[in-house]
Amino acid sequence: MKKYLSSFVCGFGAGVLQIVPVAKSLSCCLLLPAASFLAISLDRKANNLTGRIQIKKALMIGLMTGIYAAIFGSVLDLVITLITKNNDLIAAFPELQRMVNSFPLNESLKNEVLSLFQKVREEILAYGFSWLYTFSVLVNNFVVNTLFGSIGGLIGAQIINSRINNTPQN
Amino acid sequence: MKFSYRIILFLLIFFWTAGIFFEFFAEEFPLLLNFVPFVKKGYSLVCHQQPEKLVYIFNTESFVCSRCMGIYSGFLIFAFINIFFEIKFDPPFKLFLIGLIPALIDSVLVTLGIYHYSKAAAGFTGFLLGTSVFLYFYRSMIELIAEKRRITFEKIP
Repeated sequence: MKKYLSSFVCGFGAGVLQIVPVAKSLSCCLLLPAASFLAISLDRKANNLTGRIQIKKALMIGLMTGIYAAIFGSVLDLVITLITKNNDLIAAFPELQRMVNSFPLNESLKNEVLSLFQKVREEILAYGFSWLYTFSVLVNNFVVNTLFGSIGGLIGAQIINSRINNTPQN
Repeated sequence: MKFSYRIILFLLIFFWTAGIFFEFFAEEFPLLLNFVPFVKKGYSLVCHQQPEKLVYIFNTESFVCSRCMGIYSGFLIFAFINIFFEIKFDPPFKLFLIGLIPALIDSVLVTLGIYHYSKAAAGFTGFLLGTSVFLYFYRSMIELIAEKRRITFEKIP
């Protein structure tokens, strides 16, 4: 835990910014990579490191940042849904209905698709919880956040190393 | 990096970028309709998805804004070029700033209300950022493989 403290801090920040309403509008594809970059920089500051960073280490910090962001993001998303009995999926349901109805498909297929989401919607409205929604949140968060966290770690290490290369050595 | 690895890297980026148009594919393959809200939610983790900033193709909306799409396009195009002409140089720090500053300026000026959001400007500045970031990403991948090989050689008695 202590080894990846910077990942924990930055992962928490990224997880909150991704999920909490209003802050979510700041969400961007650079958020997780930026969190990984910040985690690497914090780790270097905390350990007084000034030399080139090993790519493998940066990758691990990025990966851990992504995992922490996924954990905090998933928990926050599920808790907010449980409390408010509302979420993106419910807000997007009318749009989904419009989209499905606009597609040139037969009625039985349209009804099949809509009934699946209707069931999820009703569960969330009634209990604030749905197994299918929970599963999708966990899968999405872990896949996307770990991927972007790792990419951020790789890019961050290279940016830091390129700055060190450009700094005149005494 | 091996030719086959470069193809795999391109394909991974290609599938991620193609996912942006999942709604369009769902229209062609109705089975995918069941996954549209979940895939959209997945992309919402890495993009604000504000409706006025999304890109529309054949009346279906993309799952990311035009700046994010520009970034992914830059990644994708350079990954494709990289299959045939491998990028071997070590990108200097300036290159990152050249990619980042236009996107940052555009973003700040739009937020301050100095001019209105332009999908073309956002896409182009995103593209610049995506291309510069790909160079760092690819260089990092090469160094990661080199590090792994070094460790493997060190382990051999």
